[in-house]
Amino acid sequence: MKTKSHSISGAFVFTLLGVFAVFSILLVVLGAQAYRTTVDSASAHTRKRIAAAFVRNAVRAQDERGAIAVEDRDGLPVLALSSEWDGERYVQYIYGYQGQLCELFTAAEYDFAPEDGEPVCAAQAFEPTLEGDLLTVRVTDETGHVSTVYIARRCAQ
Amino acid sequence: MVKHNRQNTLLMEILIVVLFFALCSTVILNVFVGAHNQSARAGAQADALIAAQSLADRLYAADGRKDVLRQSGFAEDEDGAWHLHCGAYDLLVTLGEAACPAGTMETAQVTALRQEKTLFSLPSARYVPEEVAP
Repeated sequence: MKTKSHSISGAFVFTLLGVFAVFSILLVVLGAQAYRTTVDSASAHTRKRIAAAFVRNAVRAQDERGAIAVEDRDGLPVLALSSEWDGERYVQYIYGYQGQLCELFTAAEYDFAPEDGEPVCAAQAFEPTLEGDLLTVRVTDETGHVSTVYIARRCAQ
Repeated sequence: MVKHNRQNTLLMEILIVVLFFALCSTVILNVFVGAHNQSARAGAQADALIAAQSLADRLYAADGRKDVLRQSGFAEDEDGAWHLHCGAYDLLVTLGEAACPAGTMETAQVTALRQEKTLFSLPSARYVPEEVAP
């Protein structure tokens, strides 16, 4: 009888240990899942924000009379922001090229070559349109999510 | 007797460890929930900021501001404020107009809310000069 009691007590101890181990693993898995969800969500929001913030800041920085234009360069829609430095005209081109949102800053006298641009972030498509004073930019990120950014020109054309 | 005592001590030890583990789990789960809520709030704030900036710019460039709000899905309440529920956040727009000697100052206040708490408020203003006959 005494032996049976001891064996039940031993089994209980081991069951308790097993439960402890299972819950420990569960907690670690739960923690990893929570961490992954948080990081994924943060990176998705950052991805969404980069293109919008980049275009908005570029337009705001160059918002001068006649400086903002949307051009079509061999079927590639390009946002062209022109500025003047030391009497010379420069153009900052923003466009989507080979799955990247690219920026090319060059003197206005040079031809536009999309392959010369610097990639800023991943973007499947970049479609700027200008209607009146409102610039509409549709950016498709690498996951296929489309964000639309509206930017009003402050400077009269 | 000695063996029995040893097992009881082991049982007590394991029970204390399990209790300590349960306490730690509660704290850790609380931290996970807090981190998740903080991340959701930050995400909603980022989305709301992009939406509010775009809306403020659309209102700035538009001639018919109420039409823009209607097209965007906003609904006007009895106080004249415009509301839009966007999933994780709400946008509230109040339009204003002030007559000036040579035109009108059109103002708009875009406020982002989450669970009835204000995330931020974005003011926008545009001066519309009166048309002068040539």
